[in-house]
Amino acid sequence: MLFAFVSTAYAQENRGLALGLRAGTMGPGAELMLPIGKKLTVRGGGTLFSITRSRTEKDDDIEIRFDGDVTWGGFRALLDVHPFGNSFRLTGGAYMDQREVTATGVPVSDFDLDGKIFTSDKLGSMTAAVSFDQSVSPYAGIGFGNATRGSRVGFLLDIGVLYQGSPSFDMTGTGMIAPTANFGPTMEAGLETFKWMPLVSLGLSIRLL
Amino acid sequence: MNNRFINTISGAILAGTLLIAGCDFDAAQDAFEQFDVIIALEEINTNVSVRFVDAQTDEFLNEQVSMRFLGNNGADVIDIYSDPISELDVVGGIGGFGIKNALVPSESNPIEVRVVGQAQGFETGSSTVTISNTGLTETTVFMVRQNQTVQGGASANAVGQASGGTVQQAVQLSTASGDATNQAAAAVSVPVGTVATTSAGQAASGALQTSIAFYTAPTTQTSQAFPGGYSGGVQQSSGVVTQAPITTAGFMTVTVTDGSGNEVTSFSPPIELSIDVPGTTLNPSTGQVIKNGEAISIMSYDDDGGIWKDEGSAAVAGPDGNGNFRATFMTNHLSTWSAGYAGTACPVVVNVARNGNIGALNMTAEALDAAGGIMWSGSRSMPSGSSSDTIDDFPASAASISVSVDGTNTVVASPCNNTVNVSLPAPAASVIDVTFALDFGPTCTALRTTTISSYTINYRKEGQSALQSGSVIVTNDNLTHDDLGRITGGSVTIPGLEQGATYIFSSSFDGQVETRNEVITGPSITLDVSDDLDGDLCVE
Repeated sequence: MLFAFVSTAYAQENRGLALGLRAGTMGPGAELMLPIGKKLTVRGGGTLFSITRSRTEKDDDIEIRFDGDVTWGGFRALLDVHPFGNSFRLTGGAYMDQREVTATGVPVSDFDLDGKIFTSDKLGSMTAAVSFDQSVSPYAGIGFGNATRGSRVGFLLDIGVLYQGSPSFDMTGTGMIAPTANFGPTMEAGLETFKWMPLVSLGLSIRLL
Repeated sequence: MNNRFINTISGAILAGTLLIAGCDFDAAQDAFEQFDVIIALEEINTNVSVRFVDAQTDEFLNEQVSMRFLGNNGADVIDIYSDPISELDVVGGIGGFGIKNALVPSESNPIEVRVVGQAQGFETGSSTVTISNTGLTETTVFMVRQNQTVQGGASANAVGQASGGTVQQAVQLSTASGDATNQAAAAVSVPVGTVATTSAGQAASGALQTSIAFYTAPTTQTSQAFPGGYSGGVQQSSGVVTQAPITTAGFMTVTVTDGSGNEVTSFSPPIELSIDVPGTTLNPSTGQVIKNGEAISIMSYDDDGGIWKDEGSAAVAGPDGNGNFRATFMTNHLSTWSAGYAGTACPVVVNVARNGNIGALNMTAEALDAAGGIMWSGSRSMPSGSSSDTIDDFPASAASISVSVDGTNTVVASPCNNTVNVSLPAPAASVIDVTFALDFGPTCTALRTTTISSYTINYRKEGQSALQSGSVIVTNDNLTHDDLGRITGGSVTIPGLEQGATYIFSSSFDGQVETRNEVITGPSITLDVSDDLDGDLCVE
């Protein structure tokens, strides 16, 4: 039904279908933009971002190697409103994606506790994961660029916020440092106010039709 | 209007974008700063508290003691972190160790550890502790200062001469009178021509400083000076340890050093040693007092193993004018030597009428010969709530038993398979149970561990000896934890303390002892333990 509506609108307005390529705080992605009225454009697309980093930190005489993994990606459906008929737009919609940050800490040096030496293999390891339970996150923002009008190739800028809810902070541990995972709720409480995620993205658009 | 609307919407969007600034970064930073490593420790179910006591003063030893663990279950000893240990340094006279949780001691399947203590300036001491239940077991190791004797003993010194490993000037040394009562003595003879070698295998040379410390064991203190205790068994030449109560009629420690201060430990040909034993010594094979020509066992104490070794026997000669018999034997090495017996054991039941004495009780049992001389002794603690104990390793040859429970003495003749009833005087009306809150101090908000195994608190009333002290162990049930599982404090109850009196509390943790005095002001007292558990254990 939506498709029928969009097709009809497209036929009526005879505006071009456009492809956008973006990079921003949600990582690289692509989207299709379709005008559905004089001042309305629907957008649908996706992003995928993953990065792995390792570093060694020394804390309280323990040298710990952290292996971090940031993964987020998914789909989004947005509606652009061009109130002045120019490139300025107001955007609303939703992201259906998953964002997760995981880190594994493994002691790589012995630990001296009050003169007692614990070997790294006996100490065990720790894993922490930050994730968001919401599967659908509303988005609101402003932007510049109208790929369906004007020149065939255009510039895109979006600034907005995503309501993601409070993050979950889960920790697990093995070995002698396993109880360190008890800090999970403390860390989660510390991140409780981090419910909004700012999004900025830049991109290029090309009209296909 | 339209522009105003757009401006409003745009402003709202921008404000939303800036909501990131509304995130509480301070709270996040606080959470991350609280993050700290917490170490999970296993609670140890079976613990042993060891008192190292100066045999001369009955006070805790101030010198550092190197404690080693041998015997049947010596390999099952663990430290507070549940790691196997074979030795542990102790300062302050109180040490502790645990037993692997995989082993569960019981009356029918006890755990046995021989604790060997070595300290600078002291003879090696040892005690064999038999553990028959989980919780806390206490044992005492008496330490004797080198070249000094305790009350009731005697000592003598002499100088010989050696050159290139050969004795040039003989050593003939005898204690003047080992004991004022029986005038017993001990002697050593190192003739000219003897080849003397140091512990390092070098030829002895220079002045041979020779000393004897001799004990005829007629008093409690001299019996305490008997190294290794009386219940550790005797090691045969095959290496097998025979479990038998050791009795002694006299023992001596002989030391010889050469001109360089090196200990001389072996002689060729063997040298002659003599020990006088009282005429009241009971021969277990006859059940009568010893007679001329009868054999008496000779044993030497192995400093490294903390155990007595069988060295054969000697025929006694006498009696002399003082009624003593002399046991003379030859040896090629020096040590502590005992003339006595390793006989059979019999059980003796001790029942205590507490009469209101609710705390742990210290019990010492002594086996007496025909004249009341002490030939064997053993100490143990009777836990709070218990009023009966069985001494399984009491020497069957004893004529009588003397039992002392917290200073109340009872003597019973023919004690084998018999019962000793001890009735304690009622305690003073001011005796109360006291709960001590464990205060880590203002700078220690919590410990970085989930438990503090083998943390014991020894207590005694001011003026009492170390032997009259009691101990409690702090278990997980005594501790309080925060949401993270870290220890934030705790409390422990000690029954039977006298209100208004001053008590000395010595807490032992991981080889360290902290001592403090507290006046018992009431049933609840805060005990500052900040010095016990400081260092890296504390989260400040």
